[in-house]
Amino acid sequence: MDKIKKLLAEQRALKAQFNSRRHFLKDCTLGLGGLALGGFLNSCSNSIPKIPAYTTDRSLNPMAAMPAPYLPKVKSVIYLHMVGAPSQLELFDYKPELAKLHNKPCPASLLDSKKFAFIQGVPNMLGPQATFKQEGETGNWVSNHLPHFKKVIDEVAFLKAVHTDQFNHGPAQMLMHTGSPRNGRPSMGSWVTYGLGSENNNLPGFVVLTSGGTPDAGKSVWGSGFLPSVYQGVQCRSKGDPVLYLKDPKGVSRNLKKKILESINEINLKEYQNFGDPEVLTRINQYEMAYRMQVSVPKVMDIDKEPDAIKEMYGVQPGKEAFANNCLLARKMVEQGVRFVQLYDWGWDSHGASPGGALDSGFLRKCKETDRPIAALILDLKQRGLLDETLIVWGGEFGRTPMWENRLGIQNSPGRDHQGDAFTMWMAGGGIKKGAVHGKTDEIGYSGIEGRVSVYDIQATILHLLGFNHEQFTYDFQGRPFRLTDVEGHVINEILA
Amino acid sequence: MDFIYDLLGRFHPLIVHLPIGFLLLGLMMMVFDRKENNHQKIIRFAFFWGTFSSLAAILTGTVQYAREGFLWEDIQGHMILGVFTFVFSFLIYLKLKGYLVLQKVSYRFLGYGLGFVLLITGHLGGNLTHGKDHLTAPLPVEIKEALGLEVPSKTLVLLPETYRELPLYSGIIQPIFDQKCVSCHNPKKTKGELLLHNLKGIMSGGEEGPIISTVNPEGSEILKRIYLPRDEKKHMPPKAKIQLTKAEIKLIDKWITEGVPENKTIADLGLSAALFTSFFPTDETGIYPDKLLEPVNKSLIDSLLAIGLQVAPIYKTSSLLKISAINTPDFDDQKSIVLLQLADHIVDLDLGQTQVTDAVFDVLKHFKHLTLLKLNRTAISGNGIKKLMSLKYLKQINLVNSKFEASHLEEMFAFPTLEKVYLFGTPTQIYSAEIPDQYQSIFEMGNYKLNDEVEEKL
Repeated sequence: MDKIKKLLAEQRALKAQFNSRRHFLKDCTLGLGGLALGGFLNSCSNSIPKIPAYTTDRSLNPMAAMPAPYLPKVKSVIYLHMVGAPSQLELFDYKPELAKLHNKPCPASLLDSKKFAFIQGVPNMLGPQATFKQEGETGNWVSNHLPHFKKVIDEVAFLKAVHTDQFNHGPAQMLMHTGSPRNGRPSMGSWVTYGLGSENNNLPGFVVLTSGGTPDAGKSVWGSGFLPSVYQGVQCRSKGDPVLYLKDPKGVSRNLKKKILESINEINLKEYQNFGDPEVLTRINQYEMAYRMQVSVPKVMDIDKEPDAIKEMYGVQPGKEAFANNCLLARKMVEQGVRFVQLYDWGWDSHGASPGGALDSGFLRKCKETDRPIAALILDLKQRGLLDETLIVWGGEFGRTPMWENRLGIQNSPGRDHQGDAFTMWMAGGGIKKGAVHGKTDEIGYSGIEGRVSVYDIQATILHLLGFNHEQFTYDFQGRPFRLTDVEGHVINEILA
Repeated sequence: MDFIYDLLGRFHPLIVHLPIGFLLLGLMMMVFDRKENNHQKIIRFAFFWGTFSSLAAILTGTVQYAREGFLWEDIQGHMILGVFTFVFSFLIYLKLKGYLVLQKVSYRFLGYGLGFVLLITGHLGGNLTHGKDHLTAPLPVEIKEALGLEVPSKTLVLLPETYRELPLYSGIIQPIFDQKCVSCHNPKKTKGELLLHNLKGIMSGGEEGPIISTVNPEGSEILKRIYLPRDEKKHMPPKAKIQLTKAEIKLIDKWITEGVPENKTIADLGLSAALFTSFFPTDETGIYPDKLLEPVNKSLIDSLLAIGLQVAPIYKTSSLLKISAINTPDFDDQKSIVLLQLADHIVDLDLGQTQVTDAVFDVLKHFKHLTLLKLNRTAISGNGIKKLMSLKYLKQINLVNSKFEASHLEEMFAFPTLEKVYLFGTPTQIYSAEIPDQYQSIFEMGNYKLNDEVEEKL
């Protein structure tokens, strides 16, 4: 008997949770709306609630496309994140002075009150492990490791003095993508899909593709934080079937599947009307999306059907997990109206402690793997008239030191430690001033001395190009409005056309 | 109990309306009754209460003047004429009562006198509460100029291309002062004995000494005043006036901390563009025509949404529309006819990956504001594309992977505003088409290749 009483008490407590003051204040407006909606829908069907096939009503279709508050310059974003933080000193930030200091002890003044992830004691300096040339009509610097990139260098605007206050991968990636080094905030792609919805009803609005591994910060870099989870990034598999279980099981026809989903959604909608929990709406939406994706995904995700010339341009490796494949997929998705495509390429953490992370071996392989696909992506978007309406962002989570890393006091293969004070990112596409260079670092690429921009400035600029004022774009949570850029951020007008 | 006085004083703006009403009524009755003399009693009544309430107005007004920190020079006219109003009204009342002393003074003189001072007093009072320019502000600039009134300086607008050549002081700082400070700090009206209409005035300071410190720029009096909370008495501009914006404050701060340079340009000082962006003209419609159209009927938009089209303004408050058929692969020429209802509003139209054919040009030619057009992955061959020549805003046509035939290419040479045509993936004859040099940059043929030979030895 005691047990039963206890169960009943638990049941009552559970029910009471739905009647709390907080619940009333927070959810009942929505819930009452839902109830009213139920009545409205019932009047036109035989008491079975249904979601209309097309609606711009966000309370029924959280992915409904919405106009941006201000005139957008781009419709989509392809964000290329080189996970591990590529060395700016071997790619774009040409520092001849550093070559002169090669293998000489680092002056003490550079080490004062600095925190490093791995450097101990007094390291030696490490000269650039690349040769540099001015390329294109703009004559911007690029290293010999990017032979294809130099052909598109005039399309790109460089930010040479980006800085972050995080010097470990996880928090720095979180900061870059969610505006906070700690868990719990929505990622940029989530903010954007929340604000703009998705044009294509049959594909997710925010797609994530990885190569080489998952970012150190885990999947929270494409999480939805406190936004309804319908806005989180949808990760597609990079190898084999991009999305699992696309085919209906044997004996289940597409029609039957549809009926099953309709029934489930009816029950869920009733649940939503009772409690007004947006997560129920998310679930309804996901079921419907999954059903539609069974048809749309094979079409979009099949890179084999692309013409050979295109496949060759990107250097795709069908059937394998490759950054090149992901770049081609990114183009195909943007073509189909996907709002935010996030590519993570793992393996750029060039400490020099192992061959895979050495500037003279693993780093070169990463350059080779990404150079051609990135150039191809820019050219392919250009020839399809998509570059004007797409923003491409390239960068890591921080940069690398001009010092030769001496982990445990030992100088290994050439490698560099983490550095947040100055690193290079670039943007290309709609609204970007082609060939612009903003920011400058000191003689050894250690700190920004001109045109320093923060991670928040990057975010503010991306939002700006999508038609948002980052200071007005907020979501109320826990009693206050939240922004992607928190209380920071200035749009970087110097690289805007 | 002091608050009673304050409260009383604050009733002044209410009480002043009573004498105005009573006395105007009295004067009108005098005119109305000038022949018959039937309403002497009522006229007397009006003047009795007019006199009484004007006295009340003077008392409350005096209290307000004494306790709310008005300046004598601001209110003197209003107050003196207010007393005159009382005097005139009292004299009329006495004359009506039949005091013989007033035998020689005519009603006409007293009446006109009262009417005149009443009007002026009221007007001056209105100026105090609503501001001197209350009535002149709405006038068009031309009339203001004709009346010799001060025309408010236009809001500061900087051009992103040229602003860096402007001297920081004369190009930016002084215009900000002119807009927000000079109305009280000019040679005619010099509050706090401070002049802000030129650099000499700014540098010489006011009655409390210099406002800019060259030794300790951050501690300059002017910055202190600007940064004080708006409710503080010493905050500048005063809380009732138009405030400086954040961007303006930042620039004034920058100018002072840079050492008050007179002739250095923004480029000389190497100031970041972020400081100036809020003064750039806002480009609200971008590449689209700068047109304000009547918003489209919502039910019309709903009917298009219902057939699966994406229909939305190009941005939230715009009336220009962006339409996409991305979710309706079966969209065809027949269905495109519904779009004619929105012919004026469509500026961005995406009919890519649909069933439309060359017949759709007969519909498209009516979209007079069409700017971006996508017909990629369609069976369009280009037959009839010249019908789009009349579109005065058409800038881009995307024909990627369509069946566009090279023979129709030259029809587009004459399009007046065309900037880009994407032809990648159309039948291969397109690559042998002859395009005059001046049109080369318009036609994007694509077909880019990345050659391997450039891959140097790693």
